[in-house]
Amino acid sequence: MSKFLSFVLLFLLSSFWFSCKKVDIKFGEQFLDNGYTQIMKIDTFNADLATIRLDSFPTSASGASLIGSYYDPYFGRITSQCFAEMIPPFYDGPYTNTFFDSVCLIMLPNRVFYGDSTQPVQINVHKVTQIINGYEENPMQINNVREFPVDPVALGSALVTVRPQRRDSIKIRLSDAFGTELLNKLADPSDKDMKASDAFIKYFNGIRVSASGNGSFAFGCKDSLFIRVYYKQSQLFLNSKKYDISIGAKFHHFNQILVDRTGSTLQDLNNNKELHSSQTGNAAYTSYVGGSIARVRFNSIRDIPKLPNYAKLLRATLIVRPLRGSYSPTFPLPPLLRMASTNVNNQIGFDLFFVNNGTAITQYGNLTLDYLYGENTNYFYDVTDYVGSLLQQPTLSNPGMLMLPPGQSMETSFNRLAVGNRFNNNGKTELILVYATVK
Amino acid sequence: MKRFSIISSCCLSAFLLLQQVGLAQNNTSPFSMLGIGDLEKSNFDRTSGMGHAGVALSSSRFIYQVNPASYASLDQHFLFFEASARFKNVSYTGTPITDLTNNVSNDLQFRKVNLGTKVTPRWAVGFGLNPYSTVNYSFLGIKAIQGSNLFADAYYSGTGNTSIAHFTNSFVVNKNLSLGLQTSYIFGHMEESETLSGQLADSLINTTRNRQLGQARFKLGFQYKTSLNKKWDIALGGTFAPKTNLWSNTSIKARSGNTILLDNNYYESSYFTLPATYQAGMAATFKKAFTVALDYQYEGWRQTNYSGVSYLLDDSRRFSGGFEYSKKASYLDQSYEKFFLQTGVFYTDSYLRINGVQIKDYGLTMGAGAELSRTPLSSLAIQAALELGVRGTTNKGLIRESYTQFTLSLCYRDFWLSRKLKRYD
Repeated sequence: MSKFLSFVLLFLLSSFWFSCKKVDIKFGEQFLDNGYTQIMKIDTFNADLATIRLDSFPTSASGASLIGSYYDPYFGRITSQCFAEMIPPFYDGPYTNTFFDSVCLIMLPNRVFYGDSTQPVQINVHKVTQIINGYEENPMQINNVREFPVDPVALGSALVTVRPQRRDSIKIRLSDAFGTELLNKLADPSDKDMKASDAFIKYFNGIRVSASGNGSFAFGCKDSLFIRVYYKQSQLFLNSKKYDISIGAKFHHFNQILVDRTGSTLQDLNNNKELHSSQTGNAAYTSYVGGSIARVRFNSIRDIPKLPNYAKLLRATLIVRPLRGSYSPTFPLPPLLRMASTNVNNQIGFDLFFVNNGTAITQYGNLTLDYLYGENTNYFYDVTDYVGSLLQQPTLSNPGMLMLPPGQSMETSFNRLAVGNRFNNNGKTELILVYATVK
Repeated sequence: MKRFSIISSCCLSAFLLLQQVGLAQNNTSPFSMLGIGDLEKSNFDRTSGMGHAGVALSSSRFIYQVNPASYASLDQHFLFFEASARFKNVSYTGTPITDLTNNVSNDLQFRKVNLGTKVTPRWAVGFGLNPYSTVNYSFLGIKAIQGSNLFADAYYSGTGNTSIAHFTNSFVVNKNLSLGLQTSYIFGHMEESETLSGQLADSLINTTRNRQLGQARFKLGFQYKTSLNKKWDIALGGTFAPKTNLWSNTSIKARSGNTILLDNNYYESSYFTLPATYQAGMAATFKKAFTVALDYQYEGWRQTNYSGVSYLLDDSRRFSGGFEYSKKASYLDQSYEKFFLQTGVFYTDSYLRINGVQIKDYGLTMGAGAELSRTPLSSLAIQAALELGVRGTTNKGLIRESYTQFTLSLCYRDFWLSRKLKRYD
């Protein structure tokens, strides 16, 4: 009997030694009753757009000097001038037997520009007559609307054709009297202004660099601008020498950016905290330096769970389409555009991000450009988590998201954006939802 | 003690086999997504080598499963235990088969376990577990995303089976006629799964539909045997199983990652109707050695009115015939069978009509078996059957399955309740 038992068990266990192979055969898909779970895609949920006004924003320590003025039909006339505190180099005198040659301001363009760069621009350099300081509550910050008095007589002026892409340095000849005064102070052994930064700042509060007139061009320079004094010194030979006065504290270098919205699309923004897109040509606008930020809200998002047989939101995609004709290589779009959360006070919050290998990476929209027809120009955002979080809120708090250039460039770039709402045929901003239904 | 060992080993075997029967098979069967799956045509008994013909056949040594009346012919005082396993190799051809390097599947499965004994000279009983149908398919497809011209990747699969647990009573009416009643319970489950993937979601969306089936079913059978003369014996047989409505409860579970989208254990309750089944057979035996058997089976599936896009369930017919040579020997004036050889053919119009074509199944079988008499395993007999068959067609976008299957059955017999007999023998 034990043999029989062994035989039976062997018979049973032997099956496990046989290899089994299975193949997938694509047949009969039409016969399957697979209608329980469906994936639906809809684009009928509204992405509500508005433009909010930016009262002021910090421009100090931005690393760039913005100079110029241009008129934008959406934002109005935008004028920028830069203020900078200057300090002398380490004193390595004596400066005896010196002869003044010339003095000039030297700036190096940073390739940021807007408007017609073929037209020459009149650049003026004025002496600031008040020490440049931050606010009492925040000494390290100076906003774009701050102004410091200047000597009405310019230290120097020049009509300059800026070639921002070539990055040729810009030289503006300053007053010889100013240069002579500097050199005399250097040569005077009893003078203390040129030997210490604090003393020099009290003597020379700084400069303002601006462009005159209602131009159509603005450009940016690095914050490494400096005043250079050329002189000669009689030693064994007559040597040509230079003396550079450079920017002092970075946070005392700022751009005053003023906006005159008269006659522009956003002229009513002066009197309103925000303008709905329906009031501004079915579009919203972002120009940080222009004091305007487009905001998107999903007001009807709470209706998603009311969709028939709704089970789960799979993907929410926000496609931001700039208005056709609102951009060109001369008036470029922000190459990077982030979506920043905000609150009822329209403060800038956290950026929309995606997670890659455990690292949160800001979404910048992956701009696609179509200069030919403009139909394929868009920014693309995965807002699944954002919409999902809105759905989970017990009560809808929907401050929306702000469309902004990256933080490090938004106040140093003139790029701007005009995006249409769902009624704008020149560029619709769409919220596309993909969700699962189970019935 | 010996009897206890027998019972123990049988129970152990039955337990293991029951587990095996429940396992999903590996042989893909694209047609099994329709109806109740692929109906099992084989009874995994001695008819497997005779083209599955055996409605009129019976044996004193082997259990014929097809006709409950056949149990009455078993020897009294013995317990009969049979278990079978089948290895099947299938090769697929047809338009849907695009990868000719990956068009073969095979597997090995236990397919049945049966016990039987003749309790009195006129009454035999049996019980066991047999397969009824199987579902097994899988493929990659696509699913339209509604509201767009996009598609999601989809993986569809179906597994499951239905089995018959039966209790059979068989009665000897007279020396020529026996009747049988098989009371069975058909049960099983089928799981259909759809898994959607692609770039549209951060996790897979899986929808699983489980359908539980079950219902009692009855099968009546008779066998009439007589001798025409000293050389010829003939037998007639028939069975009838009435229409049966299987209750069906469907549960659905849909999930996306760890999120349960739907979990409904009582999503739908309905019935699946098995049609009335008729079987008729006849057999003729020459000199107790050469047997010819012919069977006909009819199932009226069309009356169940199951249909779908491009398919319907149609009436099914099967013709089968087989020939057997049985070598007998004598020992102490007792005749016993040393071995047998079989061959047979079958032709089936299956219950599936797809794209206007009724799926056919035909093939050739060969079988052999022997009792291991006068060996240490003298209580054991072995049956083996080889079947070569073709199912389906390559016309109208369908699939043809060319299959080879090998069935091996172990047939154990030992004394049962025989103390009195032994004492006075």
